Amino acid sequence: MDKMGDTPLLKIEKLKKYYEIRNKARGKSILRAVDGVSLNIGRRETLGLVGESGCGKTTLGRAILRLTEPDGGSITYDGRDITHINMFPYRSRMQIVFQDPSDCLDPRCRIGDIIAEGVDAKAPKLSKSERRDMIYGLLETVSLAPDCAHRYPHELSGGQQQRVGIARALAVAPEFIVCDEPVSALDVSYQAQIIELLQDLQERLGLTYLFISHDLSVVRRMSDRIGVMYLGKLVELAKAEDVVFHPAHPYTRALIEAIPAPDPKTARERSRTHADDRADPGIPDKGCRYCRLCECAVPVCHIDEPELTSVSPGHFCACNLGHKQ
Amino acid sequence: MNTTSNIWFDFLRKLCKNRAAVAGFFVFLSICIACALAPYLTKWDYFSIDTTIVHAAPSREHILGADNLGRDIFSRLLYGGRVTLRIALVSTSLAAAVGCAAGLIAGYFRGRADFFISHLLDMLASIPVFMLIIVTEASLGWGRGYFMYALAAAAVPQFAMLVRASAMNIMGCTYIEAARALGVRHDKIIRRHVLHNIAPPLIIRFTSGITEALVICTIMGYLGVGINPPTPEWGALAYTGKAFTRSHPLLIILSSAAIAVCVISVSLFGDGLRDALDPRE
Amino acid sequence: MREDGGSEILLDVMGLDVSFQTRRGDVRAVNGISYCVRRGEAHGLVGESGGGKSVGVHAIMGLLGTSSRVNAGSALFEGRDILRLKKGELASLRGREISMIFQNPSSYLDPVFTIGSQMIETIRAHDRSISKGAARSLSEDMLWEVGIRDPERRMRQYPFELSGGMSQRVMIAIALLCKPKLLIADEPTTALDVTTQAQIIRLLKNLQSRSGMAMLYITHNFGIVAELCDRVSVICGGYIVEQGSTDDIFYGAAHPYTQALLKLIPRIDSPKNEPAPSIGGPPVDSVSLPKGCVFRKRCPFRMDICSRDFPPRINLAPYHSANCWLLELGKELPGDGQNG
Repeated sequence: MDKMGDTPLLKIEKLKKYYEIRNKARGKSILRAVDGVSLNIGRRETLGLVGESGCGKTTLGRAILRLTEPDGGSITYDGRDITHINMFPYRSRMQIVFQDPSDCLDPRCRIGDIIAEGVDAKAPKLSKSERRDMIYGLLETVSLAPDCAHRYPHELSGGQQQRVGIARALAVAPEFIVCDEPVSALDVSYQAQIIELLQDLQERLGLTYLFISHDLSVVRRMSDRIGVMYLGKLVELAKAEDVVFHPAHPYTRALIEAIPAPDPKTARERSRTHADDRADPGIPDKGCRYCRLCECAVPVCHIDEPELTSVSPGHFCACNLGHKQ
Repeated sequence: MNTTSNIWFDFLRKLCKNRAAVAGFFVFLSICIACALAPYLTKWDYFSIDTTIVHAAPSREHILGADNLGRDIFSRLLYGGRVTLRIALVSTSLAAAVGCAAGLIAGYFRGRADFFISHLLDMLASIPVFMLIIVTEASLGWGRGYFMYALAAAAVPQFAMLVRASAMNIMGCTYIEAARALGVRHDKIIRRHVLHNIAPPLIIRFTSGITEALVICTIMGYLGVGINPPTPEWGALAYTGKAFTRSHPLLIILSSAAIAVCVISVSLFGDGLRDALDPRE
Repeated sequence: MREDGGSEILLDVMGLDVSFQTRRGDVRAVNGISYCVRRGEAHGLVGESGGGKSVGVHAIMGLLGTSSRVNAGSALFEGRDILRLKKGELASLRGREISMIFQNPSSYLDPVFTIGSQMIETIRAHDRSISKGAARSLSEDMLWEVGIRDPERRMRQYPFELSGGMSQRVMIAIALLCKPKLLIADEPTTALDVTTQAQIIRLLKNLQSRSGMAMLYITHNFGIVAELCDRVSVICGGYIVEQGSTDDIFYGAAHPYTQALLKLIPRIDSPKNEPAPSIGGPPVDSVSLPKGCVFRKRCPFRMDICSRDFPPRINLAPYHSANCWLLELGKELPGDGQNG
């Protein structure tokens, strides 16, 4: 599955995370946020993960870092199973950048102190001046002015706040970063800048990314390979070009169509003959999870749940119709 | 970059701009200092009876006059303040310390500890303060100020619930998750993020805790519970003065004024703190 | 696409100027913007956040806080100046003639009432003569109209039980209950994910073509404009820098800011390793608003004159105008503005 050939940096197998939902009317129910997802990420690779909100992509990212404990499956990082071990030595190797930059920075800490938290976690015994140089260096890495160190988060713009979030993650010199919707809460102009920064950092520092977003056009710009998630399952996994230009799963095609047209002509050309847009189909008890919205569902889709299988080399898809379409 | 001290510097600067808060602070501080220095400020003690000066008017010797037993009112007010303020401050500090620890454990670690602590606090909160005071006094000995501990116990749930709720709120923020992802240890997360962020409501709660303790303490004194005569206490002084309201109103006016001034100055200071503690202005 | 200037003007905003008082000084959020919305048309207000596009509209609707002030301008809605209406008149106009939907619908729905009771309340607030039963069936029809599968069940639910997309549909249903002539949409899909966004846009488009209402759509995403709007005003730093029909803007953008924004449209088909386009530098700080053109600090074609005066409005075609010195001086724009 791994295009890099050698051992992948991160390998997850059949990872599961279930939540119990208590509802007075309907009693207890189980939400299968992540339901048996397997994938590999090679060194210096960017794996994009797309899906709509509630599909479990964020939960997957957090479960990989063990910020939430997985309920099943295994996580192997750099050849070692980290599913049950004490994560402390791995914290400096794996990092996360969050979606909402205003929420992920402590409003009562100055920017310098926020970044210092990472610096202290990595190297607690630095002298004062070394520590200060580290902080200024990190600010420079993310193209922020040194005087930002003395400001509070609310004094910065959204894009600058996100840069601080990235600097904090970089402070421990990680090799793997989960980017959890890092640009979704930002303005378009900032989005482009942050993506550029992340790509630049990857090149300079040799980082590996798991890039999570609901927007395929953003993921596409960042990723080598793309995984598409739907309701806790990985439904398609392939090279970015293949996912975008030869999507195998009907849901992937729906995601591509959802991207707003880049110009009015394309918008007019797109035949808007969408059958039933009515939201919230609910999760079917059995069969393919997408069967109720799928435009090419056949009877078998309502009975059998498809597994992720290869449709062409390096291109995997979980659809009962598979490559037959 | 000086770490955490900066935010407190900003806070002090903002606080100093609020005149009412500064005034409140200094008024309360000077009352406290005056009471603490009582033996040096007056040559009279608070218990010697001098029948020659019963209900004496203010004079050079007795600047506020004397009470119905010929005791110097100024000394009695100062010594009374010592008792009242000590009870209020110590009980509130105790409550804050215990409540903060309990609330942090419950709010940060959740789970079974939370269940246990929350129910314990609910039980404590359901006992009326006055009952608690009377039971404490009866079991530890009357009139020696032990009801201070009862006051503290009664205030613990308020502090603990506040800290627990704030801690839970903060735990939901992503910056805690970010700190965990960085591998920052629990004690440091608590010190750096949780305590930092619950400090404002906690400090404000502390100031209103002091005013509440002051009021309850003086009520107890007024009712004659808690402190044995001849030890003066503002509430007890007010009770004594009440009998002579018409003829010699100075005692009740001064003792009530002392209580009121303390409560108002602490409240003003608390309001100023609340405004100054918000970094978003 | 309707013809330019085909129908009668519904909302005519002229020279609107709004400022905020802050500790750092007066923020000049909106500096004399003018635009008009015609009956049945969808007008897009596009710009980065902090550019004043929301503030201008909130000022018209009387939704600004006490620290803000409308300094000048008028907003004629069917000939009446909304900015000079009394509070009561404005309140009856809002909701009945003009409705609004927002970015975060869940904070505009009252958490302690069911969807149904909020909808019935809205109908009856504007017309007491409608019975509760009639209001209920009206609400259910409207929920069905906005694409909700089982209106009866949804009517009994509380806002927290709804997903983001669902709450936005409910907001739209509430906004349309009184059949407004103008719907103001303030970034209604920014907080939603792409699939839900596409559904909401389709929904708004359908509703608009069916009911013939006009729409004022505030967004920072030009992709949505392409899908939805007939005409566009591009706002930067509280000034309108370019105005025109959607085709004019997309295929003949004259202002460098518009061109830069157009390049930012996420495209699925661009080659991967092409450098991500971006507008250099931070958006305009409205406190220390520079003299001259608001975009000049970030503009790749800036000239000396740009820092002296705000450029005049140049008409490029009927209903297409831009404020840029390049056009005034007759220089060729290096970019051709084509995007497709």
